[in-house]
Amino acid sequence: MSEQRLSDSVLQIIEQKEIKPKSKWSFLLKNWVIWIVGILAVLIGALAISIVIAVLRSNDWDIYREFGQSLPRFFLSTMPYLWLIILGLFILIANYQIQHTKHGYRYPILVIALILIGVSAVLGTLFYGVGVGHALNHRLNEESPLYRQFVDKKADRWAHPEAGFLFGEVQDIVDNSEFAVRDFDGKKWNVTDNTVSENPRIKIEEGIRLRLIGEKTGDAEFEAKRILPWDIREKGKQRLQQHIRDKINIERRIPPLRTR
Amino acid sequence: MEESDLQQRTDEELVALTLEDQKYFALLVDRYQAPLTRYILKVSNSTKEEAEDILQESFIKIYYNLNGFDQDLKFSSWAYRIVHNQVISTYRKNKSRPQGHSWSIDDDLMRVLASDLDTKRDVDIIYLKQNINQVFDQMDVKYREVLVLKFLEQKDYKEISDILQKPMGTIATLINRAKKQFKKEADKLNLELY
Repeated sequence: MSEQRLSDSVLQIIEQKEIKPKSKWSFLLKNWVIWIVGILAVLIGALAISIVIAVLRSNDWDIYREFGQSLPRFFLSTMPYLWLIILGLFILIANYQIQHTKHGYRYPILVIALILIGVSAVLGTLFYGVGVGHALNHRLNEESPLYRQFVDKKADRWAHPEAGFLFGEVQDIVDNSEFAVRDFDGKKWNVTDNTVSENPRIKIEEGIRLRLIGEKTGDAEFEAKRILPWDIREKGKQRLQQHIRDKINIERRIPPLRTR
Repeated sequence: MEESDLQQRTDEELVALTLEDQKYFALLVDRYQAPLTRYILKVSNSTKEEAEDILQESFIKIYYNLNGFDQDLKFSSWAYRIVHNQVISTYRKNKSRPQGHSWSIDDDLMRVLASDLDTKRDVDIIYLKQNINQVFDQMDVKYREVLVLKFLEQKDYKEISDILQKPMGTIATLINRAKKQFKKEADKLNLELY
């Protein structure tokens, strides 16, 4: 090669092998793919955060003592670790993608990671706010006993009617003290309401989801001694409905103003 | 176009011309052959012939990826980046560690290096030149390459960041650590620099 100029030998190889510059579109496409994968990773991270928020907010903080645990132990045992791992994994993926954009290498990895966590947190909070976290978590609970057992410990706790803890979505109301619910596995239970007064007392309506503490009295029979809303959204829904009912009642009692 | 007119063209203009007609690529090769060959020799264990092979491969890659050249970078930074990656990949294939090879360095650059490494004011430049290869050979490649780029290729922090694709803060840290390692290795070799 020393006899021939390098430029001549390079051009010769380019011609012999018919090498052409890669098209601009292939670089654009690669760039788009990097960004799309990165954005998807952030969105999945945000979904994970929305589920973590949903799980933590709807946890049994009000009755953790019923399970015989101290608060710190209860907190540690019910953390949705899988979703935290998924969040970490997708933040890593998003970070990798950002590092491989045109100018991503100019920014320290830690700074990018913190920004990505921040963006996922904001989006995750928004997703939680519109109910995505709850909906997804509930769907997974219904579809998979393994998910209940290993991820959403709350759902698993309330899938043990033999231990006195039953989740149920109200299907039919027989009378004031009897109603039917469907558990996570779709099994129908007849529930007898033997509750001691709960304040505020929950109104049993079709479709609401409940935590039932009591005793299994038959293969599909459950005597409830305490009835609680499944999560804060049910509580919130009931309070809002009660508020609306109270407002209507007040307006009915006040006579209309006379005008001249 | 006249040869002299073409020599005046910027790298970016030559890239645009090459994309229309590959013959203009020869001008870029001629322009960068010498500095890139020196760079390969300084950071790797190549003979001159091996360096030329690496450089030839690099220029073919540069040509092939010309449409991907980021106009926000200097062409030289981009070219150095491709050569750097080619050196690393060649040594990964051969499963050997790039080590410095004997090369010469001019006196002015040696003074810059000596000054920045806080060596003795009156240290013999010739003495330093004779022994610098030994010191560089003992250094980790990641430290050797930043010292080479900073002091011998005289690249600024932004250019080194673009070449090695690392943040500027990381480059500054690497240079500081490289200087410390240089002094440590010089000490081990009983070189009286201080």
